[in-house]
Amino acid sequence: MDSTRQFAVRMQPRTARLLSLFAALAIGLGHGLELAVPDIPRTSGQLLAVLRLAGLGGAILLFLSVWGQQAMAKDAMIDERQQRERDRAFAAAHRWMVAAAILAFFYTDLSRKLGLPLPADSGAAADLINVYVLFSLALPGVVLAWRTPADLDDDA
Amino acid sequence: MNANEPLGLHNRLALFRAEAGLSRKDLAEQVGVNPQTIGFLERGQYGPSLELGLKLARVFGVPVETLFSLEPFVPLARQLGARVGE
Repeated sequence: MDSTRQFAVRMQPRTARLLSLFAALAIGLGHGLELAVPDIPRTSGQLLAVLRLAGLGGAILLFLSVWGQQAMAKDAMIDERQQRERDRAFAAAHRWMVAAAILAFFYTDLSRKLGLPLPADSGAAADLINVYVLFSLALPGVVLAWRTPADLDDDA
Repeated sequence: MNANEPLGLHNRLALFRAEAGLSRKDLAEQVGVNPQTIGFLERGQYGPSLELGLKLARVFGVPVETLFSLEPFVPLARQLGARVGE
């Protein structure tokens, strides 16, 4: 029943929540500051790149964790309660990603009219799309971790 | 509905499990669920499917309505007190 855990990084709900906050902040700050400050000094730019990579590493770790694996598990690998939570997590993650896509659409539309910062080149834009895809892969697991009570150790 | 919200379904699962001397893991293995799911059931945070409810009732050898109810169960101490008074 719990075979997903054999192939996944074990992680307490609290750890997964903290890691998801770190990943979101690191990725958001790393890309946001680079967009907002185009003439950023070289050293600061390198620090932001490290921050972005750390955030992406966190998102990948979440995807590989028990939470990410439970979010991707087939019906036969989890019980009926976990299936229901998985389906709800996917629905919630879908809503978040749709909201992010709509916000991005309005932002790019408005930025042309208001002169707001946009990615400098197609490479930077592709980076943002990669971040969107990678974070959306980890998001159902993140939702599961946030919805699970932190004190489950006594249940076994 | 959030998994942590209480349901309108009440159960005596913890009572029956304690009386049978089963751990959550033991009971979970007998009905084919994760041990955490037994915890969710006992705390009233999850309403089982009909199939799982019947499997749980079968483990304890009781009708499913002895284990689950839409109305709150009368506390055991009050039931025993009423019997003593009869």
